[in-house]
Amino acid sequence: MTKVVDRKPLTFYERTYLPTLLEGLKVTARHFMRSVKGGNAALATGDGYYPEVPWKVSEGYRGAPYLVKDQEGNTKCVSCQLCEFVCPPKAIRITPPGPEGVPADRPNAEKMPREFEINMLRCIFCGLCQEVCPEEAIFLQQHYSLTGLTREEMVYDKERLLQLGGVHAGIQKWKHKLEEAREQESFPVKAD
Amino acid sequence: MSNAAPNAPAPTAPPPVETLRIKVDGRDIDVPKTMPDWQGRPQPTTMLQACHLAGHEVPHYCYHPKLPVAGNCRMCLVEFGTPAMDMATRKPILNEDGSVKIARSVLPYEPQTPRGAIACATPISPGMEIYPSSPATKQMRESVLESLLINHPLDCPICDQAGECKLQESSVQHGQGASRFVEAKVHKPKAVDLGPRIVLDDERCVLCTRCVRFTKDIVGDDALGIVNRGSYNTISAFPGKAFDNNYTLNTVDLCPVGALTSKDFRFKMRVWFLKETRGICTSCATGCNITIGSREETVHRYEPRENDAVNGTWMCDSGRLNYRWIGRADRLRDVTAGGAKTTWKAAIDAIAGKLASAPAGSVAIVASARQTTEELYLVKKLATRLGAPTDSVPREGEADKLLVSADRNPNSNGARLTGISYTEAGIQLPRIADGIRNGTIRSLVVFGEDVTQHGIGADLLAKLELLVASDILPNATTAAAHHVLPGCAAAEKRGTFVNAKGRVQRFLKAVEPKGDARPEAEFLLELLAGVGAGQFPATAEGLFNRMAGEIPAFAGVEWARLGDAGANVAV
Amino acid sequence: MPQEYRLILKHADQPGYTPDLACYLRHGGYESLKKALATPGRDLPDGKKQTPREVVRDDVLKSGLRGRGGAGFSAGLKWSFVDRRGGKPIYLVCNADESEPGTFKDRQILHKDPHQLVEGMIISCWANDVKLAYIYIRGEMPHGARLLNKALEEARAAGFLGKNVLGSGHDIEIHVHRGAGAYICGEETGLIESLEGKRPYPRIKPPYFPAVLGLYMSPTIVNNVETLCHVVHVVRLGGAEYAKLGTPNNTGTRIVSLSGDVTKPGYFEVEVGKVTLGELINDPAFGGGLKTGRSLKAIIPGGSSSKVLKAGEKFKLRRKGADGQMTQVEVDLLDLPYDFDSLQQAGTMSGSGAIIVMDDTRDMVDTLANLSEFYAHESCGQCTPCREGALWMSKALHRLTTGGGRSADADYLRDIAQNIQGRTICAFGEAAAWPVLSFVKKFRDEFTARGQADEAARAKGLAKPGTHH
Repeated sequence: MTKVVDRKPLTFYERTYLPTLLEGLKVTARHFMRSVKGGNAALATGDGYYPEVPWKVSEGYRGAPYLVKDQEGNTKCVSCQLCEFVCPPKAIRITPPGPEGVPADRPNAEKMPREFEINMLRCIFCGLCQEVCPEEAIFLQQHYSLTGLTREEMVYDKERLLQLGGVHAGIQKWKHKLEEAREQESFPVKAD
Repeated sequence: MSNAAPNAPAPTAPPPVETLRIKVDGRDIDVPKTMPDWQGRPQPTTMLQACHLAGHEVPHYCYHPKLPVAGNCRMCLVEFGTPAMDMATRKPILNEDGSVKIARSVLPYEPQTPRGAIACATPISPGMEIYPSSPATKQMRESVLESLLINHPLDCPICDQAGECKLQESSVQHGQGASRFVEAKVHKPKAVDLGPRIVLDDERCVLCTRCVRFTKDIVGDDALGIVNRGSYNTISAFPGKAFDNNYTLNTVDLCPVGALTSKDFRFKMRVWFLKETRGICTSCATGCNITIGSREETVHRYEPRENDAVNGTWMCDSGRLNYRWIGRADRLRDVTAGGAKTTWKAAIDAIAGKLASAPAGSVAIVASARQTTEELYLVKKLATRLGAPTDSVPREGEADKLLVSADRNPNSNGARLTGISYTEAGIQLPRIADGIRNGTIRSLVVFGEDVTQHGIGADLLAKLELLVASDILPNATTAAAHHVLPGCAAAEKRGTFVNAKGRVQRFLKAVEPKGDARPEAEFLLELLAGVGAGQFPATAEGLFNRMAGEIPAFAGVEWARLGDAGANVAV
Repeated sequence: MPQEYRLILKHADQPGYTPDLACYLRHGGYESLKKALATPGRDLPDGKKQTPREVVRDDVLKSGLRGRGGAGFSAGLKWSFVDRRGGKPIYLVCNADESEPGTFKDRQILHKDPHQLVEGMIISCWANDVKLAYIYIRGEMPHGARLLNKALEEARAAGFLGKNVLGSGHDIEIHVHRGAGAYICGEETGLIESLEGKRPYPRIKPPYFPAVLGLYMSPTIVNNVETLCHVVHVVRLGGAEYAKLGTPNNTGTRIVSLSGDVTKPGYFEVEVGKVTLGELINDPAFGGGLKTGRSLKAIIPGGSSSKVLKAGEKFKLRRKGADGQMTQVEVDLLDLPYDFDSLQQAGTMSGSGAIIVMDDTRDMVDTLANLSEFYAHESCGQCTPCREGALWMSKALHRLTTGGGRSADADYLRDIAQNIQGRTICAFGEAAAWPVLSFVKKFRDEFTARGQADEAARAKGLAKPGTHH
């Protein structure tokens, strides 16, 4: 079905564009009066404009990825390098401990990354690293505003990532394994 | 269409292989009656070998084609059936359509339950039908895998075997997906120091006994065994005996899980990041085929590559660990002239100029039997053009009964075949030293050796007008040289070696050379052009084929024919 | 009135009977050996000739003697499998590693009448061209080993053993080898491995059938103590006469070990198949019945590895009727004749002849937990299903008996056991799986009830689930 659009030719006034200009000025004036009186659109729907009012991040928001410690202060990351592998833009760079490596700072899980870097400029905040981590060691948290003055300072190292990550109380699988081993009566195990 | 001389007797055809007809997954296949066992002797073909020929890989842990059969993991259980026999007439019972009736193997005390046979140890029989994809077989595999996993520790994130673990792979292919085990797992010692190069984790061990059988039957060192009983079975070194023979790291390759791991590779890098390059070990004249595992520009490990004509599936520990020097900080990186850094063009031009104008016989060249055959060929061209005496440096050690040769140079035969060295390597070195002493030899070009250790001392080197040293690591010769040309480790270039038995094997490039170093063959081409010795092909293939055309022993061998296994030449 | 028929144990319990050679000779000892050695050759109807040894072997086959160790395999048939053409020496091993729970019959022979075993072995050695034989006795019987060694010394001194036995031109030597306490050394290839000085890991068959590749990879016969003693009587009576004892296809006598909730537990020698289970348990000549006021709940008829039978169960047995036709007859549990074939048809086995009786005071879950601990402990650990599964079942049952049970545990246990039987290198897999399968099948409601009770207690926060072993 063809629809016929009625194109009326413009009147003389309309051709000068002055009516349209005046309509626009009316809108601006209305907003001007409103903000002079103290209201604004952001307040109508929320707490106000960002950045005066910081944005409330919803749960499940994918912010910057950080490393976490468990409820006893142990680093959870065991340097399995799965996040490095799965990261689509290759933002994560891990240096494994190696044979003469850094001894782990916690009992029973003997591997810990020597260095762990995330290049926040490469990171696309997809969350695949969090999904793939078998140790619940990396989480995309609530930081959405990351800035820096140089490219180098946007590469966060392990210390900074742990400091920003905070505590995530989890299953403590390695600790339970050690306890289970110690409780095994019928076969003496040198538990360290 | 024979190129053989006329009237030569026609070669006799090999006797026809006797075959049996069996069915695998419903398809008929004729399978040889006997096949080589782990020692290469013909033995009745097993169901596992037959399934492999039919294109179906039966999963297994304890079976290994180069080890005696153990049959204890039970992972290769497959459902099967054999022709039903009439007991009275001893003839097979036929179906209505004339085909032979197949009686599926069942439990004698529970005839509705299929009974599997372990494919690795059960020989095939005429008319047998194997069902490696039936629901019963799949359930058997699932249950064996479940049994293995109930006590297996959740170590995947920290285990070195992750990414090349047979248990991980089977779990994905044949596993149940979820565990229903709610009891406590069995705990055993972890991170046990089993020897100078091996770490043992008893909890991960699936007790396939591959390590025990390898150490006892292949190496001949009865050092490993099992202690304790039942579920607490633990692999252990014999009390008081050290597990330190020169082949211990092969058990790390054999171990299907991460129970035996290499101390050298522990926590070094995840295997899925490693680029795998086909290489040849350079530690002795056996020329074991290796796989170089590297990431970016660092070599992380060597592993043996299968080549039944050379090393089977093994390599010795000393060769395997001989890669760390590639990453040494003091590698030669700069082209130098008089100790100062310069460019390749300047150096080659200068050297070519001096060599071209040197009187014939006043230049000597000491090459190395650790260089590739192509490099030695080009060096010989240079020597011929300059009328220079040449030799390589011998390197001897003690041979063992398995793989290690007494000759510790990887390419002695290459040096001999290209004419660099003679019946005995190093026999010309004293003559070269005399030449320098009495002044007839005034220029010396050294490739990859420290001649001060082999009769041409620093005092003699000081007498030379021109000393050019191409090497990888600094030594007394490079320190005394007027020009230093940094070269490449085998892992940083392409080429071939000819091993002790006359097998020419090619190896490929894994990592980039360090600094300004270049493969020796590359700058030798420029040097040859500079001294007017002619043009040679610049590609590895072209150069090899040209060389093979000129050396009688290499007749008929082409780069393309070398493949991954090499080819034989007459030595 | 059913009663014992003492053939093997005829003299052993008589007052004044001692294990020394003089006493044995006084009671007609070693006459069978002399008779065997004097056996003449024979011409067969088809013109072939049988040597004296072949005649004796044939006689043992005709006697229908079946192994008394547990499998019930025809001894004569086992002897016929031996590879006599390979040129290797043939060995005979006596399996005196009596470790099946509930069995205590072989120890009677070993401790009270060792010479009967020695004579049986010498006859068997001669008949099978064996020059070197071993008695593998379990480590927990040191006194038995001492008595056997003494008996062997006496036999050697009297010329029954050693070079040129009784002038026959045949040399026979027998050695005692003590075990060190493992049930799996009772498995024939496990025994052979242990005899060779290695860990008792049973061998895979094919290709290591003992009759072809046994001890030191030579043909080997492994027989139970009682079986070898029966050889003495087969030779003495002749195969046909011996076959008249017992019932067709289940010939001879066997020693039954009765234990559990009966008033007179002990060992009794009966003709195979001539006594029923009920008579063995209740008759005053045998078990003397259950304790006062108790009723029968379950019977384990052939050592703990056999499947349990529930009181009141009825079985359909195939019998040859009076008209010669095979019919199906319904038989009550207590009317089951105690022989190899009837018990096999009833879905269990007569095994080592050990009957364990349980009355209504016994909790089946606790009983099974006790049994499964034995199998978890005795698994050699070579093959995956048994090594992991035996301990898994034991841990699950421990959970069930310490408040950690679940109502689904009956199916859980059944699944685990199903995944072990038929998938192992040796029959230990079946031995570990059958108790679990049969207890769970026949007493399922007890397992389910226990699981449900535990779940309810945990839900109320009363019981703490035990998960440790």
